[in-house]
Amino acid sequence: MPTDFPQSYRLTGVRKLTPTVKAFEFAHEFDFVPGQFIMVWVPGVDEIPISLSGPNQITVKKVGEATNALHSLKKGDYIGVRGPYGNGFSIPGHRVLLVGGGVGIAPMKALAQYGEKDFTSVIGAQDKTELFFRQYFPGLHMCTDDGSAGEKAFATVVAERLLKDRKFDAVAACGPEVMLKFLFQICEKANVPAYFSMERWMKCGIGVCGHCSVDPTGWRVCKEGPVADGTVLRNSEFFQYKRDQAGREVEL
Amino acid sequence: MLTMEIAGLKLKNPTILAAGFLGTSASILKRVADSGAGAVTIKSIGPEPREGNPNPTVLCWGEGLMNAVGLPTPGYKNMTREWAELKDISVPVIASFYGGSISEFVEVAEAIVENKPAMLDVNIGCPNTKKHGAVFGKDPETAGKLINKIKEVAGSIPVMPKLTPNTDNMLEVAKACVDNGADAIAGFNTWGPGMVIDVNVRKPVMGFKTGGISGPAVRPLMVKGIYDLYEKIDAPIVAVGGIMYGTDVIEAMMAGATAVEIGSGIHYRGIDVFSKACSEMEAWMKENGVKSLEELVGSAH
Repeated sequence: MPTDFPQSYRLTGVRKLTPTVKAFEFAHEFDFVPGQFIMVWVPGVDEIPISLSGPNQITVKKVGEATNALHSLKKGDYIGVRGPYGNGFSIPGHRVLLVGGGVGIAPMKALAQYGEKDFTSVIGAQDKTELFFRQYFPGLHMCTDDGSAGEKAFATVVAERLLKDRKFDAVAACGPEVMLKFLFQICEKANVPAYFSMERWMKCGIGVCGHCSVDPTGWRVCKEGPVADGTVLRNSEFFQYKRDQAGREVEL
Repeated sequence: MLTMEIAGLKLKNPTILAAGFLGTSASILKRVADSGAGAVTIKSIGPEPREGNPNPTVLCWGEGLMNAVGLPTPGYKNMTREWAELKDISVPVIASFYGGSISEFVEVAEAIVENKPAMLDVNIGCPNTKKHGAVFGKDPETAGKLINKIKEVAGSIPVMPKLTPNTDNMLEVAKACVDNGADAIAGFNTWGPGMVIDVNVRKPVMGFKTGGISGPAVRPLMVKGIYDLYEKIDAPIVAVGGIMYGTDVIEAMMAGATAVEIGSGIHYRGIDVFSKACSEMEAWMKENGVKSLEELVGSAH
């Protein structure tokens, strides 16, 4: 019988990467495909989906109650993990443009590290203190909103220029949905297939509660996703609206 | 071969998507209908927006699931898109709902009835909140009064309370519901509830600490409950609890069920568990010379 239950492991390392982002390593290695996620149980607080940035590593930005609690944990503390879940990146062709925005850089690091493609990379953040993992990205183009590191530009602008200059077989990306919205328009215009890691409010993580399913197809982010291609993204709720924890629609 | 009728609903097969599973939007309900379900159920609708319990809310411990999702709902006032798009679904759509008082149940029922669901599934069994669900399903008098009030606003739409098994009064509650006009009875909501403690962390794992138990582990408990219900009440019965395979459906029917709901089976066999169970039923029926499901209902008595 399959079990989908958090297994508790001690944290073997906690590293502060930026003022708001920490990398956590735990005493268990997952056999995973980059882009897959695990459910991370912060005992007594909450359980949240987080993409793996390595076989035994998650990289998390402080954004709410659960991530704040996670950030307060130290080496030797327990977290519970289950997974890996979802599809992960499965990208045809060889020349791939990677785009990571904000904490969306984390899963793209796993893809850059284990993806075995000819990667060109764009990573973007608000400012230089929020850029991390730059050593893992081949053919790196950095950008910041304020120009404090790399080019002063949005990642989408840099990606658009690269797509004009060179031939790519695919674009793989993770980041804020508004970034992905513009990036998808750019990919469609350039006629390059898109593979984006998407996010929706998740409860069960195993495809039974329905909370993360998207309109109009009922595609479940936790099961068929989280990596969506053009056939899923086109004419869908993505880039338009999502549902909150109660299931109410909210505009993007 | 698998057609069935229950409380006036014509089903192409007797497998119904159980309330609480995958019923959060019209689009996912449509997907389940396209995966072979004979009817689908909208996740319980409440009077006001509600976020539900913190995670973990659903876990599989091996022989079953435990859940304490905690009745999240956008609230009946925030479902415009869902009601509009439900019309594209090819099978009957059942609406599950709840309230925190009899008047709230009635308020939600009145709003739902305007959208003409095929049936009302009255949630008097959920163990995962402190003031909803099973609170109304353990005392025959309360349950009977609730069903009576809901029948007053339901019009021609059949009313089906879904029972909690976690009371010595289960049969009396069922009888009170039928005496007050319930058109069908669904048995059962989740069992227990149960608890699992992480021995390293020394804390309960579920966000709500406890969770209702479903899945294969509870199937024999469900079969016994349906068997008892069939002897005691005069209304069609919908069996819910650990049904995954065609022979599980047939077993529940022999105990007395007219139709079944499948929920946890989606985890074990995928979203197409409905069509899988149906082809298994057809194969069994052919092998055993059974022409119609009706001859199976209650045949183990």
